Amino acid sequence: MVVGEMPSSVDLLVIGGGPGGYVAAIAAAQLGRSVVLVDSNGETGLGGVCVNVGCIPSKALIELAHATHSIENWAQRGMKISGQPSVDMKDFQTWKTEVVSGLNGGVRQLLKTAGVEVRQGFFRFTRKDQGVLEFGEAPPTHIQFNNCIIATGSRPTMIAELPHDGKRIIDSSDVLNLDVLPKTIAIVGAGYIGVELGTALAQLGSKVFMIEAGERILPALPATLVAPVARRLTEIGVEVRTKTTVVSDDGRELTVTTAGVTSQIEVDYVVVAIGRTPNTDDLGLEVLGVKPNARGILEVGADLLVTPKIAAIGDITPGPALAHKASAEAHIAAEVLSGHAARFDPTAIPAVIFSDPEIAMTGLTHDEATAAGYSAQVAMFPMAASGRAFTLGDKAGFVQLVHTADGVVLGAQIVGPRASEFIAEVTLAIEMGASLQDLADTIHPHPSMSETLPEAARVGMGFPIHVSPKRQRNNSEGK
Amino acid sequence: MSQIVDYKLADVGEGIAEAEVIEWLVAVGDSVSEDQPVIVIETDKSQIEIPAPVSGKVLELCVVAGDVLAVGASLMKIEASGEITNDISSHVSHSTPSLSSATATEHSVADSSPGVRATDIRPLASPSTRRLAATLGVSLENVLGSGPNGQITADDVQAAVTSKVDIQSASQKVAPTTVEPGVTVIPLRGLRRQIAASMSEALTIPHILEFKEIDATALLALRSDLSKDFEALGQKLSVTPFLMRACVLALAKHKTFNARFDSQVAEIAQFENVNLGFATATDDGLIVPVIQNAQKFSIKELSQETDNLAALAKSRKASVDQLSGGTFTLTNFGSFGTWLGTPIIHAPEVAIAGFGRITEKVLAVDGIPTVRMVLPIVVAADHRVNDGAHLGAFVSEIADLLLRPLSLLENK
Repeated sequence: MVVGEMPSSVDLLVIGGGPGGYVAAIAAAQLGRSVVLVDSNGETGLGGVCVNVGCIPSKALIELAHATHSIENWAQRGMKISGQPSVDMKDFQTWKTEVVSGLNGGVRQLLKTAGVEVRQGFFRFTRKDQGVLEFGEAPPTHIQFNNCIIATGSRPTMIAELPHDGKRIIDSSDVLNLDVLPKTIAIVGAGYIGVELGTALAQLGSKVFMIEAGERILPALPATLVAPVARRLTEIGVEVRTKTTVVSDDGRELTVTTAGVTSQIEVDYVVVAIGRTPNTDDLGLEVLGVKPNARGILEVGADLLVTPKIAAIGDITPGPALAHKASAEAHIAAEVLSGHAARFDPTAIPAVIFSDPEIAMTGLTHDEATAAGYSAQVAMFPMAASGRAFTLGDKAGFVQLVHTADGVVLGAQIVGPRASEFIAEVTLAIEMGASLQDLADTIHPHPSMSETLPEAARVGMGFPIHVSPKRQRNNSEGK
Repeated sequence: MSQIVDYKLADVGEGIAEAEVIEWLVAVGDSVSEDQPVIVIETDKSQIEIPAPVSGKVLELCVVAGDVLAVGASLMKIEASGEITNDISSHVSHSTPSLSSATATEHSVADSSPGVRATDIRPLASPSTRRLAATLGVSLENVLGSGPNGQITADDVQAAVTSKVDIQSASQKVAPTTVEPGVTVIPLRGLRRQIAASMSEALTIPHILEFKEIDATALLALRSDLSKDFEALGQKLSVTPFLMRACVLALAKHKTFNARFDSQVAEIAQFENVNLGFATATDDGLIVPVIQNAQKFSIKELSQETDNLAALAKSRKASVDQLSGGTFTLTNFGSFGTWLGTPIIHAPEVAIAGFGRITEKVLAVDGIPTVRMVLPIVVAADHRVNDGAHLGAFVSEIADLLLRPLSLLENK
């Protein structure tokens, strides 16, 4: 060690202030650890991509779009407005900034209360228990730690054909900062991020082109879930081009090729939303003797440890790159590094897509359950039979429960209004080993979308009330 | 800041609920470094050196040689010199890999989980129960759930711990003691105890036996032909790999003998691959190493693998993987110098083949009394799974193969 590099000593170091890192920091502090959190954006980065440039601002935009768009529908149901609704993106940005800074400030306050110190900079390991924190022109500082939790998250994946310039060729985070509504915009990648943004922008009035290399939008999802969303995208004028790849962009026109046929699309913006890349490349992981896999993921087990003293959580570990998965791992990592015998061992991780209609999933799909060796069955209940869906004016979609022959719930897929709000109930059911009978016998409030769950459960048992039963109930069952 | 680590015995593998302390490699007051071996334990499968979880000073040894420990029992207390990071249960040295269960065509049935239905891919248990199990070091795969649909409850997990502790507290005297002149009392421990338990279990199996004498003259001629290649390599070729190959080929046609029987759930798991166990006498007692996927092995490979596994078993170095997952077992009475014996099925398997001593006998060959080499064989089968007619056909198949030994050299 060179003179002047005397490291500061830290009990537990957390790298990254996102929904993995900040939760880990607070959980570790609650376990009696002395915690320092470093983030490349310092305090302004607290909450991570999620709070600042991801989940939260995108949901703000989606709510604005949904409200604006639904006025058309409500105009036919009694709402009287004069003129056409319009959107001022500058005003939206003002409100969005309030939302984001409110939450960011909240995280800052929580960390302060928990006694967590926040430092700004990029951290890189230099030894198994040490690293250097660098920020701009400031002299680098060395940090020695007893334990460390790596929670560096991910960034939008870019493609060589479309070099990011932040003006015309932008990523999903840039879209959320636009203070003018694009007249025309191409979204490259119809995964959940692309579909969410494309839907919102189209509802706000942009002409949206959606470019997807796969055979359909949301290629990672079962086709049955996607169909209602694909229909709605067409209705709102989104031009979806599947089996299409980007060739180049000349600053005015995007050149794409579909099955060997090349065409040009003239757009104001091109959004690259093909996925996310784990931030594991510049961490100096080689000094730890660990190497991410080909996709940049650190292969950790249920203890989340990459070395006996260092854990990894969130988008850089196997599993879905979702904020709530990172937060759940954060608790486990803090406990494991504090000597507790904890394991990250969820039965179900929910996922929600704020498309129109919304898609929410948890546990296993039918195919996954079958592949896992279950003799799985599916029980479906359509939203068109839900009273609450009628009053919301949106009857698209369905609830689908995947279950064993014994009726144990293994998974659920919901397409429809407010799906994101009641998927958690099925996640709890799965974790608790609940059966269709348990769901059916649990009284649900009326009218609510959640009522579709006991109905779907009764479909699975063969005796639904609000759709036609499959068979006659045997009176001698006495159940 | 220093921390005191209560170092507990971790789960060392499939079905091993207890282990006997053989010796301490450190004493109170010693400094130990992380991963330094500190204690030697013996499970029913093998002897294992367990390393220190952290660097530090030994404060207390909680057990003595001869103690029988349950998983989760405290081994020692260490004052850690650094921060405690890792799990504080014993890690098992790399020579004992984690377990894979037998390769089954439908689903594998772990013999350690009699109460868990084979269709339960993931044990049903709530998050709080999972957390409790992790804290107590209980593997949910080994717990029988008492809740609806076999769900494991917190009580089930607690009960699993209690039953292990009972085993530990039941351990008292371990060294042979002389209670009165001329009588030596030897406590049942380690491998002997395991053999006693599994033999008692075998008593519940209704055995049927079929015997046959086979003209092994052609077999011995073939062995002697092939031996030359082996001798050039400084190896010996015994009859055993031929017998193994005959069993493997016969099992391919008679799959009902390549199986495991689970009486708890009344299921027979029948296997496509043959994991062939072979009984091996060691100084400590009988051990059955298992050749995984024996159907893929040639005579030569079977010979080498048998020698390799037998050596590991005799030195008690075989890993749990190498001692478990069997689907059929073979035992050789000939090596004891006896004519033949009645083999006992190695539960949960459903059959075992025994081979006796090859001796000269006078046989009638084409009506002329002729001296031939005769090999007696026996197969014991679980009558719940197979009947006499099945067993007769299976034994005849083995006999036919041994009479035409060139068929043993063909690749499948």
